[in-house]
This record gives sequence, C-alpha cells and structure tokens, in this order.
Amino acid sequence: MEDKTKRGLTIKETSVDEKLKVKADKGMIHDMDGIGHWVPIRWYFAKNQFDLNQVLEYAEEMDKKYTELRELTCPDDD
Amino acid sequence: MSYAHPEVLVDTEWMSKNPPNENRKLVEVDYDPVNGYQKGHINGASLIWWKRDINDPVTRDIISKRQFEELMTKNGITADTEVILYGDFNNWFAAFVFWVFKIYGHENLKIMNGGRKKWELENREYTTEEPQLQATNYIAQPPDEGLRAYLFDVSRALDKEDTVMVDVRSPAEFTGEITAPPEYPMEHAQRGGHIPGANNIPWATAVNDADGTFKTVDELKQNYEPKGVTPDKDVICYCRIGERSSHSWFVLKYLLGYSKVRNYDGSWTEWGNMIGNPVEK
Repeated sequence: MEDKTKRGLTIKETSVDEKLKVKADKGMIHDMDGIGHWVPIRWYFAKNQFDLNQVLEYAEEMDKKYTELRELTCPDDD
Repeated sequence: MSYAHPEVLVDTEWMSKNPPNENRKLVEVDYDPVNGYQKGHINGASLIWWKRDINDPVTRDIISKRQFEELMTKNGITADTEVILYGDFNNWFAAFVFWVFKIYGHENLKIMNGGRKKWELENREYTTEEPQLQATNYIAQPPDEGLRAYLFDVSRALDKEDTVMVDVRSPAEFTGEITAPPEYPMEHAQRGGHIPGANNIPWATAVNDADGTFKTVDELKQNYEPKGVTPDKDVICYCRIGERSSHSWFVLKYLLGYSKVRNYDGSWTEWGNMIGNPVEK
C-alpha cells in the first residue's frame, strides 16, 4: 500500500510502522518549525498475514483522513 | 594559498581540544533541534533554534537588535566573547546565524568546519546535558544593512552589469522543475524558476562531499570566477529561505574575501510568490 501524497519523498529508512505493525518505507517531512517527522510512504503487507480486504480497510481509512483534511481547508459547498 | 579570513574557521580537532569556557562560547544552530541538539550535542554547547530564536515570532524577518541582545544575554555571550557556531544541515543555519551576528556587529565569530556532519563522521562524543550559562548584558551594534539584500535591491539590480546574482539552489529548483523538495512542504512558491540573469552555483559546489568541509581557495575560485562571480562585482546570493545562500555568502565574503556580498534572505519564497516579478526558466 502506498501513500501517494508522499510521492517524491526520499526514503530514509525501512522499519516497522508502529501503527499498522508492518514493514514500511519511511521519509521525513519538516513542519513549520523545522522539526522533522517520520512518515510512512509505502507499507509491505505480507500475503500470508493479511488478506486484500484488510489492506483495503487501511487504504480507505487513509483516504478518509485526507478527505477530512481537505474539507478543513477547502470545504465542499455541495 | 589560504582563505582570505582563516580566523573564521576552526576544525573539529581544534574544537575537541579547546572546549568552551568563560570567554569562549560554543553554540549549536539547528533547523531541527529535536533530531539534532536534543539527541546530543558537543559538550558545553548551547542551542540557537533557527526558527524560534533568530526569526521574529510574528513578521517574516530576522530578529531585531533588541531581540538579538536578549538572545546573546540568554546564551551568556558578551560583545567580546569568542563564539563558535556549528550545526545541522551542513552548517546552513549556522552560516545564517553567522550572518545575523555580523549584521549586529559581533566581531569574534567562527564556524566549526563540517558541522555536526563531520563531528559525527569522526565518531566524536555528544552529550545531552545543557550548559549552565550566566546571563550577560549584551549591547549590539546597529544593523549593518550592507550585508543584506531586499526585494527592492534585487529588482534594482536586474539590469545592472556590475551586480551578479548567485542562485545557490539545486538545478531542479533553478529550472523550475520543482519549487521545493517534498520534505519541505511549507517552502513552496507560486512560480518555479529563477531571477532573470542569475547564475546557478549550488551551495554544495563549495564543500567537499565526504565531510561537508569547505573546498580550497583554488577550488572555490574555479567554482565562481568562470561564471562571472568575481571580486570586483556586487554579489547577491539567494536560495529558497536564505539559509543556503548565507552559506555561499560566507564562502564568498570570508573564504574568498569578496568585499561586496549580500544575502537576499527573502529569496525564492519571496521572489517566486510576488505578483508581477519577472521569472526566468
């Protein structure tokens, strides 16, 4: 699974994502104050541990998060 | 041949043998202190956090003379103190702070060549203990505006043959392919490209890849002079937010000894966002 909003971000390490408990490529994004935050870019779900529906749930959750963020700054009048 | 002002540099070996004391203060300058100073720093170093300490908290500007005096006072620095700066991100922000110190007239000022990068490559020690600093009463000089270029100065220099603009960003930023890397989403501009007539001489061409130390005088001359960046010119350096350009400003002014070099700290995040500014790709 890949977070396409992180496209182009340099992969700095591959380690376990504490939230989803799977191996993930991670990069660093610096906030307004310059502080770097590790962010997962791509997750590797092992086929013998996860089925596609479970991964889809995670993907939909991520999509929902970005929709909510978009609504916060650019609310859709419809 | 040695640098024009070799007294502005110390190396890591010297630093390890000459720790800070009452008359010598060591200051780490970080863009990201959470992943830098707070994880470990050179023994006795205090912290200047670029965003919090060296920028006005409200307006986009460097700190005022009064704010600078307060910062120095807090860091136990007097007008006579020898101050050595080093930091994260290849000393970019240490160079920015060097520039601000010079704006407010601090004389005895140095940079530790190679910064955190070289110190770490040499597996030298860090501590997480913060020094106990005695407050001072620092009196700064009025700002030396001759070291700083404003939007107006850059606009006015566009058609001047005796002023040369040095864009120290990456070639991808210079051509407008990107406005900022994905790591820095807060530093984009509405337009990509560069100031018309600017030369692209990336900051990194002034340092050795391996350890981030500055190249030799001959190598530096070869880096700038063939592109028309010569000591007889009025030089303006810029990048995206003014930190990489202060690194090149330092190289031109202190290592090569150019007499007229200014840092345009508004840089691309100002130029590339202003309505009507000419842009070249």
